[in-house]
Amino acid sequence: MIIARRVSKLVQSSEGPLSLLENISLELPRGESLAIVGASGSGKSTLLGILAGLDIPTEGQILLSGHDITQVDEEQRADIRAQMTGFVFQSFQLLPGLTALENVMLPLELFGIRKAAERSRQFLDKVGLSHRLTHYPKQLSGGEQQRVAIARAFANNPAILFADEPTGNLDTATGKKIIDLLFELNRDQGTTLVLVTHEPRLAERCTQVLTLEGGKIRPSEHALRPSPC
Amino acid sequence: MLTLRLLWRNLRSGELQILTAALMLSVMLVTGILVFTSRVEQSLLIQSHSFLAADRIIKSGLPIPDQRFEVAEQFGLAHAMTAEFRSMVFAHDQLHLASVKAVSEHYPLRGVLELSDRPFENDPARIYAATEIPPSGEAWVDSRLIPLLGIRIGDEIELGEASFRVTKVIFREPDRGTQFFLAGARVLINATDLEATQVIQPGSRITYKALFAGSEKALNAFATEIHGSLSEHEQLQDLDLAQARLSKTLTTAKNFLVLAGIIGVLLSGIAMAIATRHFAFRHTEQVALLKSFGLRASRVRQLYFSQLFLLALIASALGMLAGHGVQASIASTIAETIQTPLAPASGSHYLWGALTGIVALLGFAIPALWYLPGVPPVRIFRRDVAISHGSLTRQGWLAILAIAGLMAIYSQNIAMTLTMMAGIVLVGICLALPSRLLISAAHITAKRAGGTWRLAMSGLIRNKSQSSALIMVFASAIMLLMILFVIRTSLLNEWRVQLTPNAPNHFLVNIAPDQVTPIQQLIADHQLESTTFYPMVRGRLTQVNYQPLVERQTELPNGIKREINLSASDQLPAENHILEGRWFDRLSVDSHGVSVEAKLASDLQLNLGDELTFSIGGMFINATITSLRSVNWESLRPNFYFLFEPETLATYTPSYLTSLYIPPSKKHFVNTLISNMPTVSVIEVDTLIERIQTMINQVGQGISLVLWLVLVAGVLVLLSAVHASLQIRLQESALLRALGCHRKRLRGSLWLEFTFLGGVSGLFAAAAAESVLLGLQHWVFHWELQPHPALWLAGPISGALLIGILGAVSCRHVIKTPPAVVLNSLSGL
Repeated sequence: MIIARRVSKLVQSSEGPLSLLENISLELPRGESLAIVGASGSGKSTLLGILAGLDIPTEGQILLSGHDITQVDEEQRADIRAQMTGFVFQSFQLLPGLTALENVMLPLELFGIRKAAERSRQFLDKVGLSHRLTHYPKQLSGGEQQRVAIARAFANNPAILFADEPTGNLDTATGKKIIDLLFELNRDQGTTLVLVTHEPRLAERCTQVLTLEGGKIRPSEHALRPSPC
Repeated sequence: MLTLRLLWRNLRSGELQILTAALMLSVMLVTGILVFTSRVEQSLLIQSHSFLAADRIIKSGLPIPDQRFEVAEQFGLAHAMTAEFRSMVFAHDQLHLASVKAVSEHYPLRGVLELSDRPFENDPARIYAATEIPPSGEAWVDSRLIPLLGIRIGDEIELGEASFRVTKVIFREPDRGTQFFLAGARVLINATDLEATQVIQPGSRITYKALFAGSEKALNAFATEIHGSLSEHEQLQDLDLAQARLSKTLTTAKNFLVLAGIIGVLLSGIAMAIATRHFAFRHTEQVALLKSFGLRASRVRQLYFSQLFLLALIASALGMLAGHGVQASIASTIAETIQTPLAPASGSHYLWGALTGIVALLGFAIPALWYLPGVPPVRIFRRDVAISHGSLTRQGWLAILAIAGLMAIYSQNIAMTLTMMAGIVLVGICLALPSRLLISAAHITAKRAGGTWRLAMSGLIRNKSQSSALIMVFASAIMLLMILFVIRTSLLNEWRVQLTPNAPNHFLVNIAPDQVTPIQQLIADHQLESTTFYPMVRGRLTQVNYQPLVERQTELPNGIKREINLSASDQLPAENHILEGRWFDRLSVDSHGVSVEAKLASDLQLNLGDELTFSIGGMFINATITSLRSVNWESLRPNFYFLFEPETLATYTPSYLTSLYIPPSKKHFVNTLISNMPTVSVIEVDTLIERIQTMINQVGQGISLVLWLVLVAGVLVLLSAVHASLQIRLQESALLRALGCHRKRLRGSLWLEFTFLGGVSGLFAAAAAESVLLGLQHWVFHWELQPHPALWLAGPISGALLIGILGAVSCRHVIKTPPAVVLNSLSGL
C-alpha cells in the first residue's frame, strides 16, 4: 500500500545543506498501521509529510497504492491525496468560523460528494458528538475538537490516514479515548494508518514502529519490515 | 452554490468583515462623491446656464442666419433670439440712453425673468416669474427708468419710430451679466416690434444672440454640425465667458470636488489593500489545510476569487445604496440651506461606483491574495516552511496603476492625476528608507531611556517592516487629508476675499463734477460709505514714445483700438497691486504720470518711463508710465487700464464714477438719489452678488461636507491599519504580561509607540503634502506658489495625537484580554 524507497530530504540552510531524512525505506501493507517515533527534530513530521505527498523528497521514491507520487506534479499529487488520504493533526486544524458539522462537511462539499451533511452527521455520531453539531471549535474541549477532526478525516473514506501527534495536545485520559477511537475507526473502515507520536502506548498498538534518529532509521529497529528494494 | 455557501460561512465567521466593510466603503465613497459632485456640478451648470439664459448661445454682431435655428430644430433643441443695443428712449420731455433688448418667444430658455408691477419692489411676495415675453407694443423696464423719464406704469415711451406702453418692471434678468458699466436702463421689448422702431440701421452696434437649450447629447451634436459653417462674426459659447469670475469659481470648485473624489478612492483603496493582505495572512494555514485535503491550486484560486467577486458584487450593491443615502442626506441638507433642490442624480454615476469597486478589487485585493493558491500543503505540518507572499513592490505598482487608471478616467484631468500619483509614489519610495532609519535611531536612543519608552521602541524595531508599512499608510492618509484641507481652506478664503460681506453692490455713473459734493452729502446723510469718486473721460491711446501705436508690431487687444475709459486717482484702488515702479508721489512736474495695467503693458510692450500720448476729445495729452499694476478684473469694482495722477483729467470735464455698498434696508437711497439727480445712472449689482454668494455658499457647503466624508474614510484607513497589526500585538502583549510586565507599562508603551508612529507619519506627510500642494497650485489650480509652514507643525502634532489616540483606543482589547486566553488560542492555531 505504502512503499518508500531510499527516501532522503536535503534542505538549504544558512550554514549549508542540511539533511532532514536520509535513505529511508519502508513498506506498509493495506490495513496495517505504522508508528513513526523519535525525538524532537528527528524528522518524523518531515517523513509523514513526504509519505502523504504533501512534500517531495530530494531523492527516492514513494508509491501510494501503486502511484509514484515523486514522479508527478503537485496538481496530480493533490488528486492522489483527494482520492486516498485523510489527515489528523496535533493542533486539530479546525476552521474556527465553522461549526463542528460544517468542519466535517467542508472536504466533502469541496469534492462535490452528495449528501455531505448526512454523511458528516453519521461520522460525528460515530465519534460521539451528535449533540455538538452546531458548536464552534472554541466551544468544544480539546478532546472534542480532535474527535471532530477524526470524523472529518474518516468522512471522506480515505484508504490511508495520516495522523501527526494526534494526542499531543490532549491530557492522558482524553488522549487514550482518542487513540481508542482512532483504532476503532481504522479497523471498521479498513484504513491504513500512519501516525507520528511520542507516546509509547500509542506506538505499541501499531503493527509497525519506525524509530528515527537524526533523520535516519535507528539501526536496532526490529519491528520494521524491510523494504524489498 | 458552494461559492455562496463558503462566502456566507466566511462572512458569518467575521473573516471577511473588514474586507467587506472596506469594499463597501470604497463603493459608498465613490458613489456618494461621484453622484453628489455630479449633482452639484450639474446644479452649477444649470445655474451658470441661467446666466446665459440658455445652454449654448451663438453671439454675433450680425443677425443670426435662420439656418442655425433650422439645424437646432433638427436636433430637437429649443431656441430663442435676442438683440441688444443702446438707443435713446423718450417720454414727455425726458430722454435716456437705454440698453434695449428685443427678445423672441420662449426667452429665457434657462433661468427666470423676474418681474414686479411697481418700481423698486422690496416685497418678495410681489415679485413673480415671467411666463411669456412682453406682448407686442409693451415694454418691460428697469425700475430706474421710471424716475429717469418721470413716467408711471402704464405710460408710453418712445423708442425710435415706435411707442411702447410700460407695463411691468424687471426685477431680475438671468443673462444680464457683469460687464455693463455705463449701460443705460434696460428696456425689454418683443422682437417682432424691432423693425417698427427703425433704430437698426446699417453699421448700428447690435449684439445678436441665438439661444439654444436641450439635452447635452443633442447640444454637442448640434455644435459639431454647425462648427464648420460659423462665420467669423459668430461665436459659440457654452458658458458665459464674460462672467469669468463665475466660470472660474465653477472650474475651481469642480477641480476640488474631483480631487476630493480621487482622495476618497485612494483612501478606500489603501483600506482595501490592508484588509485583504490581513485576510490573506489569516488564510495561509487554511489554504494549506484545503490542499492537504487534495484540493488543486487552480481550484483554490477559483474558490477564493469566485468568493471575492461575489462579495464585490454584494458589497458594491450595498455600497451603492449607502452612497446614495449619503449623497441624498448631504444634498437635502444643502437644498434646505440654499432653498434650491439639486439636480437629479444620473444612473451612470452609480455604475461608476460599482465599477470602481470591481477595479479596486482587481487592483488591491486580488494581488494580495494571489500567492494563496501557491501555499505548499506541507505548511500544515511545518510552520517553518517559507511562504512567498508575492512582491509587495509589484503589488504596490499594480495598485497604483489601478488607481491611476481610475483617477484619469474619473477626473479626466491628467495634471491632477500625475501630481497626485507623484505624491503617492514619493511617499512610497522616498520615505521607505528614512522611516526605517528613524525607527532604528529611535531604538538606539531608547536604550538609554526609561522602561516604557524602551519597551515601545523595541516593539517598533521587532516589527520593523510592519512599523515602516504603518508609517507609509498613516503618512499617505494624513498627506491626502492635509492636501484636501489646505486646498479647501485656500479655496474658501480666496472666495471670501473676493466677496467681502460689504463689497460695493451699486455703481453710480454719469456723475457731473458739480454733483460730486451733493452726492457725497446724500451718501453721508444715509450713513452709507462710498469709495473713491473716479473722474472718467473717454480717450484713445495714439502714440507710444511718439511713435503711432499702429506701427508697433503687436496685436492690439480688443478695446484699445477704440475709445476707452481713462481715470485718475490719488490712491491705489483696492485689489490693485504695484508690480513695477511706484504709485504717484505727486512730484512729477514736467510730465503727467500714468499707471498702466500690467497685462496690457505686456501686450503692448510698454515699459516704465515710456511716454504715452492720448487723444481726448481731439486734444492730446502726454503721460509717462510711472508704474505697472495688476488688476483683479473679476472684482466687482471700478477697474481701469490707465490711471493718471490726480488732477490730470480735471481740464477735460470728466464725469465721475463711484461704487458703494447699500444694504437691503437702505435700498430707498437709490430712489432718493434718482429722483433728486435723474441724470445719474445707478447700476445695481446687488442681485448679481446675491446670486454669486448663493453659488459660493452652495459649493462651499458641498466642499466642507465632502471633506468630512473623506476624513471619515481616512480615519477608517487608520483604524484598519491598526486593526491589521492587532494580532501580533495581542500575542506580544500576552507574552510580556505572562513574563510579569504590568498593564500600566504596556499601556504606556502602546501610547508611546503609536504616538511616535503618528508623529513621524505626520512629519513625512507634511513633506509629501507640501510637494504635492506646490504641484497642484501650479498645474491644477493655477495659483501663485505658496509654501505652508503651518503643515510642518500641524502634521507631526495632529499625527501624533490622532494616531496615538486611535492606536491606544483600538488596542484596549490587547491590554484587557487575559494572557492565558491569548496563549491558549495561539496553541490551538
